[in-house]
Amino acid sequence: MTLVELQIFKEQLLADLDTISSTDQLEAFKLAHLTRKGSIAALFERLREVSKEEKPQFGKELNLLRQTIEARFADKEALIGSSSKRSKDAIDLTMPARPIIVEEPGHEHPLMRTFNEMIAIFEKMGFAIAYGPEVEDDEHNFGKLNFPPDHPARDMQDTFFVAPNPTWKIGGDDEHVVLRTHTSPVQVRLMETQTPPIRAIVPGRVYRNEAVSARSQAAFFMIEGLVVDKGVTMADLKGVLLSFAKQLFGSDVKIRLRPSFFPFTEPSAEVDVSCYICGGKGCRVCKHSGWLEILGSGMVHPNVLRASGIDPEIYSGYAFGFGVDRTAMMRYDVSDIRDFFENDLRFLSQF
Amino acid sequence: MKISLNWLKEFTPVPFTPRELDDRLTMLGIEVEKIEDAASQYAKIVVGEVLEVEKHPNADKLRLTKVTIGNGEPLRIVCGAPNVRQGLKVAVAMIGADLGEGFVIKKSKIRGEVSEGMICSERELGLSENHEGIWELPQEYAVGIPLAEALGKSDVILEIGITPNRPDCLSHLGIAREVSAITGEAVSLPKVSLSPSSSRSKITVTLLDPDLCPRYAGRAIHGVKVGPSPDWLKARLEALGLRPINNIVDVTNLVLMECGHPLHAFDSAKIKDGKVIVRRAEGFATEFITLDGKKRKLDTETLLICDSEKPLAIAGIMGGENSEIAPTTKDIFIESAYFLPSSIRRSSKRLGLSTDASYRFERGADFEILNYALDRATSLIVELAGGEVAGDRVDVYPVPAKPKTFAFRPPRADALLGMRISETQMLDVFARLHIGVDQAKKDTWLLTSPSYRIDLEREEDAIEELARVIGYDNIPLATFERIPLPTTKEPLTQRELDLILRSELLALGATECVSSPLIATDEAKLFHDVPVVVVNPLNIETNRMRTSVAANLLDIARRNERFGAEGQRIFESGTVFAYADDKQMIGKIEERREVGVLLTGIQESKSPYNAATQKADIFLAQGFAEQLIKRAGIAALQAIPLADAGALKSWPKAASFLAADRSIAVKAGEATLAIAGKVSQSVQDAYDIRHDVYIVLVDYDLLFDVLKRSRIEGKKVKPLPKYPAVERDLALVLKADVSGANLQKEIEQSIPKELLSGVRIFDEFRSPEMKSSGERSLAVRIILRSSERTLEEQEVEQVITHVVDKLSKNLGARLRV
Repeated sequence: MTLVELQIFKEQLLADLDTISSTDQLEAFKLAHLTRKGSIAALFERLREVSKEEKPQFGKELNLLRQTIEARFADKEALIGSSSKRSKDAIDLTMPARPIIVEEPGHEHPLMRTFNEMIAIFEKMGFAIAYGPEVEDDEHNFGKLNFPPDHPARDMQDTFFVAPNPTWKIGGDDEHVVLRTHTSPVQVRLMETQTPPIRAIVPGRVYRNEAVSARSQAAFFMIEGLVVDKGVTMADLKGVLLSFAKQLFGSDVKIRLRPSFFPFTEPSAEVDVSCYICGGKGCRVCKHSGWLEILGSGMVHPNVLRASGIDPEIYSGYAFGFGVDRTAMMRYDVSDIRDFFENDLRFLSQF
Repeated sequence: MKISLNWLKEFTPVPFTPRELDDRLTMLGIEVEKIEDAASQYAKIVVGEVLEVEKHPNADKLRLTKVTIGNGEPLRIVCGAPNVRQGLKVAVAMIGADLGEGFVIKKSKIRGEVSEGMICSERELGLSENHEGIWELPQEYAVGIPLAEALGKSDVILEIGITPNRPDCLSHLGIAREVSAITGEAVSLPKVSLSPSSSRSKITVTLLDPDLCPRYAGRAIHGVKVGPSPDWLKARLEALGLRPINNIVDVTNLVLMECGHPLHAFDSAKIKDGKVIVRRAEGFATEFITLDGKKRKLDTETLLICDSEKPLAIAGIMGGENSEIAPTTKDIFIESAYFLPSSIRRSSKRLGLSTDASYRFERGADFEILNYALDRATSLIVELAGGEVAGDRVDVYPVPAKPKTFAFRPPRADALLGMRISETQMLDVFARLHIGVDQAKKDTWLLTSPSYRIDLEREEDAIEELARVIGYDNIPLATFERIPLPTTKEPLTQRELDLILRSELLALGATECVSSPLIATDEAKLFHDVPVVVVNPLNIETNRMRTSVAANLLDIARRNERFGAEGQRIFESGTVFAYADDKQMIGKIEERREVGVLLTGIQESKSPYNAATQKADIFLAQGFAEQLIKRAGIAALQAIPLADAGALKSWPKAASFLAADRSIAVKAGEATLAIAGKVSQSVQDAYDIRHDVYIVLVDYDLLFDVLKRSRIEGKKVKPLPKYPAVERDLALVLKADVSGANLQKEIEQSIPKELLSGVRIFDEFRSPEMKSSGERSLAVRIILRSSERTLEEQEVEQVITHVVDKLSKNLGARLRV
């Protein structure tokens, strides 16, 4: 007997199990393989013939085989409802539901708590909420947002690609689709389907192909905002962001806009909030700068407006976006972002 | 990118401290990520020499030392290091020295002895983790000089992050131009003088693909002596983190750091027939060995620098082994060219090869600096490596690039920024940035961007420049914004349903979880046969999109069980993915929202009010499913065994991941809104969970649709009943295989509709006798009410007798006595 033979035998048993459709067949299978005189027990007998070196490996594989077959048999038994099983612990599935006893309320996930709080702030300020797909085409995730093909700006967002259909092959004709790297494609979809005034936030999950570390996670949550109307200015952007920062961090905080670059905005601004831990004096959290970088923003680039059918000569707009994780980390003094995704109840029960 | 402050000052005055420069550049959009300022980091730390070492009278491990720092009396310092000894050169932190984290050296008494400073270890100076003893400095260090100076670190190095739109800032010249935009002072480049040559170059340049290389300049130098660079050049490169190689290559790197233009030096003896040909690889070469010794496969579109028979370099990315500068090289050819950014980027991506040169070319080089860079490098090479310039500069530039011009309407700045800027102010900013202004038309100016500012091409770009130089801080703050008033009726929003479900789950004692939708193939396949494939996953554990939140919940449950959780009640809500045939989708991928609840282990603990613990079971899972959907607003629900629910579109593998004898489907009319059940043994084993696990999965999208429809149709109240209800309880003994649902249906059918108000099973009981005879008892409450009259006792009795008769006849039930 070899390991390969063992594997073939296992696959044969699984295939046999698949074809079973009656209690009689089920009984026959049990008799042939799972009883003390069945084929699996016989295999254990033959373990004696195996050489000493191979024995541990064989024993392990054999145990695995038995567990797998027994588990699959139990499932099949439940599915078909073998008489022996039913008489033992069959239950009446049509009985009414059990009342739910609540000993203590459940715990909010800190990330979702922060996320919901942020969304609520924007709702209060009159922003609509928009959602969109997480699997996107290149055109909405990049093209219409003024990322030219073969442009280094694309390096700013490392992208996951997914196969567009189940028969996809490497090097085939089908174009990849992407997991959205930001929620901006939803902004494009908004502008394509609505006429200004538009005033909305887009909360949701985004994906970046970055090695997981204490500071970064491949799938995280973002909120982006978009306002398009006649006469919208950067002063409006500043006003809204300051209001948001004060509502989230406290009425004492200040914000600072500094020039930056995003392909979809011009002018672009990185936004810092004065460190609410030290009040701007400088501490470990703000790396002694007094400021915490919280979001990116700017005036919607005329190419982006045009690509969505909005005339930049008539309308202007601002946009902003930020990740939720970093802020939640700072708020709760969580030093490793991975703690949020472990879902350890000893961690979650603190919230 | 690293910038040396000392070097920067050679280009333009920098009237700022490093900290101020950091602030000013940051507010200009040049992010300073780090400042290495050895001089201020080591302020009040000097080189000293140990003159005397004595035992400390009151401590075995401490020593009293006298240390000279050149001037004045030697310092008395108490030191605990085992390696302190007479004659040693050491780093002395004087009184007032700040070693960081609030550790400032003060005059003190240690065990009764005065100490006037500290002799430092490497760790105390932040140089290494070494804390075995004090740092032993080289003997040649002069006593009394500042430590930073002794270490050759009198410069300040700025680590700067440059956004992809500003390749012009990737050099000292570039940063100097930004500084000059702040100060208004001029920027000057090092002067270059070349002595005229007598010999002639035999190198000719041909551009076969001018679309990818519109300009190519070069120059030959004969008779150079390749060798190590002088110390000043090595130090300059090392300070910026570059490794010195030889005087020729080092000069090209210096010029790169100086003015940002990548150059390449060839051994011109290796250029066959003296012919440089710039062309695509197509039809010429398929592979090439770059100077890092690696054989690279070439795409037909890759641009190459070739001679008449072979490639010499991959244009703009890396040179070849076959023509690199060797110690024996005598004659060289220096290339200074412009390559099309998108071509360099494509080739660099395809080759998986990014270099300092490709980084700049793919962002966009400066057409006009080619010749300066070439001349500057030539003069430095002649100065450092000797040799003679051979002939004139080659400069093939068939169609010179025109300066970029665009229209600018001054009032647009206010319209976009919300900030008043006078025309004088605008003109001043444009002048500082060397942007040409033609005011021939009063309302529409014509601006000309400098050749190095590839990012300036439209009105909005110029407006950003104005805001940037005047300062984003000066943009006013609006305190009121118009809000578009909604004009549509939204019967239900996703946000509303999200909040209802979430708050209900929390109220039901379930804890919220959040996990990544990127999961392993084996796990994804438990819930769907063909999970969506991630083409470039981080690792094989995350190469599929999740097919159900159950995959995440089971993983979480396993981990928490390991950590000793006795009972778990957790939920997650999120998107799940699967291939679908619907052409409407992006790709053929369907996204669904799903809410999952997982129940395992103890769900009710012992308490003064509860005699026994209760573990998770199917009826609790059913309770969660029904409660959630009812709370969302759908009251009329029916729970049926999963096996009777038929094929489910949202959960095609429900029959395999749930155990059929412990699973139900919850329906509202025809729509299966949720399934609930015990996780099948094979899935439980796959996750290696000890306790039985129950899962509830709610089809969020379907629930949303059904709910939305029911809200549109509206709900109307019924008038309150005028007459009292009558309740009768029946305890019935039935065969165990008569289901509760069957009993309920039978009772409902045997009561006249106008009198039926409700039927509810409220107890189940099995005596030992019943068990042996395969029976059980169910207790039922029947509620009767008429909308027209108060029911008479006699009438009620009639109905109940009829019900008992029917049950006896149809179900073989009898009253328990």
